[in-house]
Amino acid sequence: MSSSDLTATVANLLAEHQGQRGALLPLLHALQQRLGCIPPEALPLLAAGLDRSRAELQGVIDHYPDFRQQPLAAPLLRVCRAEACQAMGGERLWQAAEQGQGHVLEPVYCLGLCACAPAFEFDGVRHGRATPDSLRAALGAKG
Amino acid sequence: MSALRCQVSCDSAARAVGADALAAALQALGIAPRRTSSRGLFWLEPLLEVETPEGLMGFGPLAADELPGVLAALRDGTPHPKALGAVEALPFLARQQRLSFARAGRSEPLSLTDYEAQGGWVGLRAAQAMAPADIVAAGARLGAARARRRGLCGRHQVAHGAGRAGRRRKIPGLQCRRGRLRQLCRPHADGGRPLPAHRGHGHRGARARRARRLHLPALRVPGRRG
Repeated sequence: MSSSDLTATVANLLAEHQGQRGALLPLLHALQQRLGCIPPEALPLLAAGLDRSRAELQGVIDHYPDFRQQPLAAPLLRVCRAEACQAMGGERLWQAAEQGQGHVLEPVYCLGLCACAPAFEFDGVRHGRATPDSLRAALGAKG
Repeated sequence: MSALRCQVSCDSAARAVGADALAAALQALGIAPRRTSSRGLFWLEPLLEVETPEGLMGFGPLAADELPGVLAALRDGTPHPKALGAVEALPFLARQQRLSFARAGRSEPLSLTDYEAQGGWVGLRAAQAMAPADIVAAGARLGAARARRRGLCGRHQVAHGAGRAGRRRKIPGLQCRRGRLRQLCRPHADGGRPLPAHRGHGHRGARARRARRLHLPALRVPGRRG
């Protein structure tokens, strides 16, 4: 993305969130959804638009593990490591995920699918009552 | 089969276990299911509910490839291993009294027209037709009828609730003083069940109030000698 495109995107988003209280997090979410990450070059633009310091924005981005400053190298696989999923065999799911190739693996602490644990999310699609086999099938269907 | 009316949840948990695949399989057969919120019976998701003269009949948990069997069973009136009968008669649901979640599993979550069709806006419409003073009066009645009490409702009511006169002593002195000093909630107008007498010093609410009182600054009364 060229720098003028980035400037236009950020300016559009800033205009959309104009006057909104607590606009920083919605803005960061929208930017990451649009670009796949929050590029470091966007920080000065956002800081100027929101009248915050760059350090403050950097602090917010670093605080939340879901915000990325580099685009993902591969589709994201998030395996739930929280209590309900662990109790239902999430450990085996995690091991299967570690053995797989071609994705970025991240732990997540609850996808809200405790009632159909264990659960994982691959490329934005959630899967409940997962097994190592269903995980491999989901990875294979995409890759 | 075009007359078949049915619903499949679009809840996040239902989708995670294959509700979308089930809905797509229905679509492929020319049947457009309503996508409702979930009943909360997640162990039965994906749950297919089919409208019949006897009410909504459930089938679940149903994989997409089991759909032809279900449709055949419906057509022929034969039993199906995944048939659950009337969904709202399932013991888990029938035992519940749902208030905030009364429409869960029945309405399309993002459709305001569907919300309205199922009895939405009734309270708001009623309030719109009322004079402002009547709304305030109705609010006061609601407050008086509040089902859950907080605080002590007055000494005489506690004593009454204790049943026998001999139990009167068990009412902690703290609560009695509070009642006299009117530091506690007034008795509710409906005069419902009184507070159990065992709520004493150790009770969380009473303790919290006591702690707060200890931190109040003392009144400064000027001495007579100046």
